[in-house]
Amino acid sequence: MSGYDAVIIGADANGLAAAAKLAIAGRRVLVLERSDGVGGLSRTLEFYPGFKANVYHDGGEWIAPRLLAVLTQGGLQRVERDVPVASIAVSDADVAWPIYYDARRTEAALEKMLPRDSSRWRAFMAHTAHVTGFLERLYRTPPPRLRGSRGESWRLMQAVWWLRRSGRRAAMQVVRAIPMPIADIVGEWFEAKAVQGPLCVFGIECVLQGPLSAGTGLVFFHRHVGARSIGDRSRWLGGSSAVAEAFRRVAEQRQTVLRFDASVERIAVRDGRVCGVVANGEEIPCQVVLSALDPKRTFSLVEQEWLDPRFLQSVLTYRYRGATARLHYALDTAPRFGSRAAWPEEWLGGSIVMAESPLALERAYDAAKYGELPDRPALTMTIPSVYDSSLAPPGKHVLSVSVHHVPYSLRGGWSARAKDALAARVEQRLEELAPGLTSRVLGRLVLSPADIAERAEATEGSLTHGELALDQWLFARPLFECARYATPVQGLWLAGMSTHPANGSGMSGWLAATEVLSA
Amino acid sequence: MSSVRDSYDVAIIGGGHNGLVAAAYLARAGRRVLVLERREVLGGAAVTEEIVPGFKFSVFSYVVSLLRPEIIRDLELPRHGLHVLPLESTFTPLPDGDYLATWADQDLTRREIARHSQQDAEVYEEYSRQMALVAMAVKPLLSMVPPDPTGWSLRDWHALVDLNRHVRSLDEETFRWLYRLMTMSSADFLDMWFECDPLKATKSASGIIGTFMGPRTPGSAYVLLHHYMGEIDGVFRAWGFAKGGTGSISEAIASAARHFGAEIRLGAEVVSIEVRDGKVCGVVLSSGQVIRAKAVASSLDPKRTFLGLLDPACLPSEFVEDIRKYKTRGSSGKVNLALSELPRFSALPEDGPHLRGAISISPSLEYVERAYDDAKHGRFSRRPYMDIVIPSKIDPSMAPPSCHVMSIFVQYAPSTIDGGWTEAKKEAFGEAVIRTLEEFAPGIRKAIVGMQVLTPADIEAVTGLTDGNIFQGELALHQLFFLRPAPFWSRYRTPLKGLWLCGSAAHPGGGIMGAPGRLAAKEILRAGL
Repeated sequence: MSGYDAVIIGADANGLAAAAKLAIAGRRVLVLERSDGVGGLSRTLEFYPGFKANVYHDGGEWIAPRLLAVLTQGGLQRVERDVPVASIAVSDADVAWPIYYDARRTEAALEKMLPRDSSRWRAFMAHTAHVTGFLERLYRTPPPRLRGSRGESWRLMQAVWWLRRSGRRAAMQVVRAIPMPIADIVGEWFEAKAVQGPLCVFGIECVLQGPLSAGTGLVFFHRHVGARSIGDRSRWLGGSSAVAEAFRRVAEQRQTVLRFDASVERIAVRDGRVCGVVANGEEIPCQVVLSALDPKRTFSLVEQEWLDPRFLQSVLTYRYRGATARLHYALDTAPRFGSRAAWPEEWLGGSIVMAESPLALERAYDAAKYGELPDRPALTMTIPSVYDSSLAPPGKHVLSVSVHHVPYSLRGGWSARAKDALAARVEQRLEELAPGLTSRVLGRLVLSPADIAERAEATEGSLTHGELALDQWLFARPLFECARYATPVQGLWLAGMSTHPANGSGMSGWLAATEVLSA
Repeated sequence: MSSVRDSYDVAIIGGGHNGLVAAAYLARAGRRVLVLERREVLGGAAVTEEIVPGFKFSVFSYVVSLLRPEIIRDLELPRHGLHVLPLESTFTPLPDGDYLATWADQDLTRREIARHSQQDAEVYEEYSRQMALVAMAVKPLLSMVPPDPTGWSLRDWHALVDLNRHVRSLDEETFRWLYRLMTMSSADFLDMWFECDPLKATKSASGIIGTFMGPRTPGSAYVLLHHYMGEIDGVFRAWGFAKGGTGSISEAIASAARHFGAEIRLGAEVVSIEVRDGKVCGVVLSSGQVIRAKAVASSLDPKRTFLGLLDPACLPSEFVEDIRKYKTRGSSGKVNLALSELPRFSALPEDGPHLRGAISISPSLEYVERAYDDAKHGRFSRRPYMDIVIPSKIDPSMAPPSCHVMSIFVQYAPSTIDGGWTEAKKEAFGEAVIRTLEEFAPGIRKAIVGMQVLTPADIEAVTGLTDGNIFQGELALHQLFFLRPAPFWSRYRTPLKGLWLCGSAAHPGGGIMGAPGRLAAKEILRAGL
């Protein structure tokens, strides 16, 4: 006997959160990671000598208070210097407005630029907070089963009760908002395209959908669960992998073994039950396996004879459709944004979101859905070195760009030329926003969705381990058959971001481990 | 004189099929009912008119399937002249000269699909079975007055408990497909079943009819289901064509309503609803005549009713705001052709059974999606999706001997077209339709002896449907069931005492279904009128 109660495949925040949860409960856990470090999709890596970046995305998703307590034990630290700005919304070089944590300041900033819409800001914030408050209640526990036991119904009723208590009209607004297209939501609140466009970007992040598609409202609200403001994301010292590192420390303090460069070849099954994991040619016997990989990768490790053809069909029809490319720039100086007047320095600490209008976003999506590169893609940028000096040499900076509506299935494939074409379009947009920026570049890294798929073991380059959509959400995520983390193979559990609540900061893995423990 | 009264129990605004159904049910229950129709023709969007001499067009709505069987039974519509002839096949001509068809005969359909994909032929039966099961599962909801999930009343509670019990009574598989249909795009949904592109495109087209969505837009699968719920003589997904055109359905319902004692007045345009002490007391006609009624039921859409016929000041401001938010973008146009001979499709040039059913111009998913792309960016589709029927093939009385009428439903023709609809754009739109048709049926242009082009602007001008939306409001997820047309007001009542909604803007929505009219009548009676 190897002596492990559970083996976990994948050392991202979810895999390690599951490890921590099991270890706290006294289980002996082995974590197998293919690469040489923790973090998975939220890894922070050196991409140019002396420059580190959050390679795939910036992380900073919702962390439930009880998890935050665990993470603090593991040494997780919020960025000390609290930046006043959550986000900068840009529709063109001269129309940029900051979203401050303080809604009054945002309102005042809008008042100068887009007066007609400024008066609605606070009400919109309240509306968003209300919907996300409801989602947060749904996200604290495993997904409800609509057709489940009385106890389950009771938990669902509690969330509904919370909603109901806020007043009939407010409750109805929440129910109505969730299935709406994001363009309709912002269209009901704001008039100016310069306000609508950037806000719509938060509804299409990581999905191959335009803002006119139903379900993009859900993406918007999902993203803002736990956020202090529109566009907010938590910033942790050390970059996006800090969360996984903290879980790692908690798990390792409790005898969890972490093995790097351990490539899992097969999950061994006997009589429909998991009996071990084969990694680097060695079979490690164990009764319980948690996989933080996505469903397609997980079940490709299981011999097909153990899977019902219908189930396999469901696994194959689960949608990924990665739609984000990621570019990193090592800059030899702080970038100067704004074509006429330079932006105030404090703005550079927020995410910079660039999109002209909902229709411009929709046009970019139109190109992507036919497998083409959009001419003018929407961008989300961060300069994490502004508040975290560990990421770049003194005086120098890192600019990371998420490019939206970049199709994984590009017509003609992702050749080097295609990547150059993508970079050229991105840099053209960067120049509009920050003239002269590209001349300060020391080095760059371009990652297409195909690169992300390959490097981060994420099917189709999906940063959420499967598209977040109404039909792949809650009790239907990732599949009806394994929405509660257990799979049809006894002893095999899903614990990655593909499971409820589709959280990259460990909540999915934590809840999966909770279910494992109660089984 | 007992025939002319000046006071009624219920005055109904609009003589469309829903208004007439409501009138018939109320009259059957012994109420004094008056229907007021602005035009000289009954039926609203369900009318037959002789636009070209000798040729009868089902001007707007052209097929029937959703008409609720309980209405046909209760109102004995066959006795009043309703006769539905089945439309059983679908024919999709393809650009390469081939075609795809589905027939009433299952074996024939299977063999035909197998020509394109063996896999799809095998799964087709299972698909039909599963869709029928889901449609059965939704059926009770169509006859249900939506509960208010935030309400405290015993009635809401009972309805919610019933709903919960109903959902739990479904088998696991059906529930899953139902959930997917409620949330997915029709393209993704069909991808789960089929591989043959023309088959997916033709099926997905049911998911876009009347909506401002493309086959890849999430939410369109629900519309697919909505169209699947059709039921004629108890057979799911059977479409039919009313003998004498769609107008004969309205005539049959009107005849039933009159039989029960309802009065119907044509050429009577309501210009405002009379309100006294916060209560509706009648309507005013364009002639200036005031008609007193204890209740008024409007079968017009909510924008027309609340923002057009009433002073919004007498309504709660939040409600008015909700009605303004209610989305009614129109997306479809209609072209009706009078033909001197049958069209000759390159794929099947001779006359044959394929001309007796629906002819669908939907060669691929991308074709349909691109048609939608045009619309969302403010243009009509240069190569539109078309749903074509030739009613005269089934009912020769529609056209002179050896001549034919062709009804072409066209998408997309957006009401939001850049710069609005003008005569020039309308002409270009008609031309785009004929040009596209020529690709599949060369020579059809020469057979045209008369043509009627209807843009959303025309549909609005003639029928009064806001933005020409054929469902009186989009069938989007956030505008269904207890949210249709506005939160808290999905139960046919309105914030104004005595004013009711009985049109397609109320649950369960559009199509020649009649359900909103029937449910509204039942609610009015339940309120003790």
